[in-house]
Amino acid sequence: MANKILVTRGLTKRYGNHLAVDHVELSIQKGQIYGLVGRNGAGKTTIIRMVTAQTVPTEGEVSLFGASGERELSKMRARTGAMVETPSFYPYLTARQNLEYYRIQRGIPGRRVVDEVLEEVDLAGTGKKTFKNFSLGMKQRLGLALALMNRPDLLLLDEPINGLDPEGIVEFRNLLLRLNQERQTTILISSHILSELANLATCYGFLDNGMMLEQISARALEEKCRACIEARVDDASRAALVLEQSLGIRDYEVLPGHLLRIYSSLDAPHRVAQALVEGGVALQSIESRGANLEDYFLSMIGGVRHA
Amino acid sequence: MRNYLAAECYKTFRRKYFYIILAVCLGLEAVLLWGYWTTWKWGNSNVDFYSTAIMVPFMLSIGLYATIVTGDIVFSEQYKNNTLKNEVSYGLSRGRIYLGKLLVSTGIAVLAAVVMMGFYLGLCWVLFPHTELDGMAWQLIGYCLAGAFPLWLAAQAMVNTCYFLVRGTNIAAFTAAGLLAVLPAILQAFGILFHPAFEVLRQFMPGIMLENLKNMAFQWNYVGLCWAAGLAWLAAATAVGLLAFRRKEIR
Repeated sequence: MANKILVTRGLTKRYGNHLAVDHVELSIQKGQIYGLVGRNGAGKTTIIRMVTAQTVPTEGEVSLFGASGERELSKMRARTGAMVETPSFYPYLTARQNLEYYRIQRGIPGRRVVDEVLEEVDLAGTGKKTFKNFSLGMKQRLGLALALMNRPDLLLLDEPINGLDPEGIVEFRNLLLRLNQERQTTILISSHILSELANLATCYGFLDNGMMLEQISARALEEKCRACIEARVDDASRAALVLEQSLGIRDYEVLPGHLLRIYSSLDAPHRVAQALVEGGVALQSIESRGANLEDYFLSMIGGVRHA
Repeated sequence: MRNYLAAECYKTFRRKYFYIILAVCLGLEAVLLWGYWTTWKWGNSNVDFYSTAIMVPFMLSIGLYATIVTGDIVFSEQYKNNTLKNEVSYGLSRGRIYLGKLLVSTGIAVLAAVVMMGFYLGLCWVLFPHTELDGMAWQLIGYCLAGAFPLWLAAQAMVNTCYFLVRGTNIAAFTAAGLLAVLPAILQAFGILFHPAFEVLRQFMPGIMLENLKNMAFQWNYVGLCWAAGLAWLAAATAVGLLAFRRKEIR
């Protein structure tokens, strides 16, 4: 339990007749970078908003750092940093003034903290420019600066790379990786840019229609998505023998339903097919397979037409 | 709570809005005083410190409606700017947020009242001749302020409830103005049409009590009644606002 940073049990949010989040069980361990994957309206933001007390759950509970119950949760939220939807600040204050306001409000000691965090997100030179004159990318950076100001143990980031330019995205990714590695900051990040999540996440949660479809580690996902030749045969034992003796293939696995997954000779499925047939194996089907995060997600929610 | 109050003050005093409003009010006072001073210079012997200073009790209603502005200065369009999420997501309790803003807007209102009355009375003292009625003027002002203060507190609490519960700043301000100015008229109509109890309730509305106060000089029982009614409105408005704000969606 000590390693569990964020746990939700039966977390549900209903708006009228619409079930935005449906009994979500989520568990994030210390040090993980947890990618929350889902299309628009899947419930990603609503989950983060419930964790950050912006909205009250209809059912279920949230546990942060092992604590639940409103009073305890409020204390634990001071150990988190959050950036939910668009970063929001007072338009008539500068970046430094906005952060100084929150520093005083949160009782974070030392004025240097503001300068340090502004440097960290590359906003130290914005001077007297007020927030209302910031570009979207600058606003995102300031939002991140606020989330980082209290050196949080858990970062909650909802679509944080929206508005960042390519260079900004790389810097942002490196910053998150550094925080995760150097400070052991646990990160929950939601994004619809799956390629970006794939570069960061150590664990994924797939959401659709408010329901958690699957939680899987990046390693397990990689294994599932590994490129292979998938062959369905009448006799898997015989087929395995043929693969080893005729082609010298040892990197394969036999799955239920007379299914073989072959992880070598990927560039020559025709040779595999020929060898199996010549070895007296009835080949029902053979295909090259392999997927990335995007393919995996789309296959999970039922195809590209829904995405 | 101390940190929260300090942060709200930091933000408020960095907003031009507060200084512009204060400057406009002081400018209007200066215009009024210039008018008095001109008539005095023309030889109107009725203009003296007493006659100009006792305008303060007639300006008490301005303080009531000024709470709409002080509430707005401190609330800072939090719904429009979506900044409340930064506060609740850090674990600041909604009670602290609500009461913190109420305390700071009350403090700002008191500060503005002190500056404006100080400016007005100070110039009256300097510009106009003094008579044996000076003491009476101070007593009258003190009496009216003693009765007006709890009613202003009540108005500030009602105004802040509107800002917290109504998302649009303009609609919130109109709702607050309606509560303070129009509701007594509605209660009066209901009192005539339906039941005298509405008229009784009207007599305890802050705006009505403030109007009555200046016509009841040195009736300290009425000042006591102002305190009782003011604190009751303050408690009721704060309770309603807090209860509703506790479950409000923050975006």
